Amino acid sequence: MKNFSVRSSLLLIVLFSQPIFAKTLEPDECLKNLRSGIESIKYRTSIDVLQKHLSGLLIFKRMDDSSIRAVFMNEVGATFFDITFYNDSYHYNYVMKSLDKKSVKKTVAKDLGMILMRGIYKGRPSCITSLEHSYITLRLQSKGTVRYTTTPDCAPVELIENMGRKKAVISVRQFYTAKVSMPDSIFVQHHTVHFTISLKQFNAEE
Amino acid sequence: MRSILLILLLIAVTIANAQQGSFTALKDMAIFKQKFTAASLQLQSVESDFVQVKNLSLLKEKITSHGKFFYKKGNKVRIEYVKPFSYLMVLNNDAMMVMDEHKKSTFNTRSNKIMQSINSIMMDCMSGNVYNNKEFSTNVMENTKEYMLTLTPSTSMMKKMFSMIEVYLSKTDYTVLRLNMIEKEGDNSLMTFSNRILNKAIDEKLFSTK
Repeated sequence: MKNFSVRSSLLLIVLFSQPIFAKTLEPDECLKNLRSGIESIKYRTSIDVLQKHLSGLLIFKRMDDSSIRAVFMNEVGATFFDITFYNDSYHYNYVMKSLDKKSVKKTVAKDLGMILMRGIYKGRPSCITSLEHSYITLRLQSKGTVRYTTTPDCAPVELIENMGRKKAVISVRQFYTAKVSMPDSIFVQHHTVHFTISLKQFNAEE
Repeated sequence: MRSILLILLLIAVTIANAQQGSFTALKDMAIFKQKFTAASLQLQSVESDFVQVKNLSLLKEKITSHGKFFYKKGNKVRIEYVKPFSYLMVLNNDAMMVMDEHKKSTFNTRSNKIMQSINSIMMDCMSGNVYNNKEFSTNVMENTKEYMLTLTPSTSMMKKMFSMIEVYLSKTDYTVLRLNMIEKEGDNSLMTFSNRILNKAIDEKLFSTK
């Protein structure tokens, strides 16, 4: 009896102190919930890439066909780029001549696609979960995967990582002021090149 | 009932036509050019408030910002956005400085064709030299209080950026009242200037790009 109690206690300790991996969530449903929370919003934005610094307003707008349009313009009103994100693809409606380079367009679309959770992925999501976290992984249409860190009950995502072979090559940290659908601020950090994007929710009435 | 609706419709159409037709073709272009150039020669400086409304037609969004505008003879412009964000742009001949909440950047507009063109439009509107801008063809219309200059891009680079730029000038002092930049996709940015003070001494420091 004593042995049984000890074993039971040990088992309970093990169960509650260690993450329980391999428990599968419903990743499709969680992803659908997270995606549906993305609404129209404006962000004060700055982009630092190599020696260049761009600033302005980034607008995400949900369109009637459920696509999300991302428009980045400078303070004076000139549009840098305008992208439509569908579930499985994206399309540049406009890009300023100085940014009209394949690598720049691909990188910008990937970063925004990671935030908007659409347009850049293929296949179904996979998921592993612990007591505290759920990790939803999506495969990029290009190379690699992106991991969304959420909770087992599918709370708004605080960390998004584009995983390389051993570690993250891009990290996106999202901060919320309240339990709202879109983050108050977002920081995108590329770990292999000097490229950062900072977004801060912008209220035109401020 | 039908006749009342018809009368209302006719009134609405008449009003709309009157508004659209409020600008008519200029009667004497030569006199306008002469007066515009003369007024520009007299103009030493402009200080004014402005409201800019960026209209994103497809997104059905309007972004309104407010700020201060300064012009000083000698190709110097300062555009200072104060609300709802802080952003500063200074043009001083070929030098340009922009500063947002995070960083100050300086450029030589000669090294960037787009910047050079924007610089040129700003300065040409102020200096009365707008007819000589080879990147646009210009048409002038008038009503009782204003002239409307329509600048249509003639170079491929400008055509990619704008479908048209409208410059509204005061008939009393020939200064810019409104500037409407209409983009190819149908979006536009309308800048409306108010509280204009002409020929007041403006500190040179405001146009420093360093």
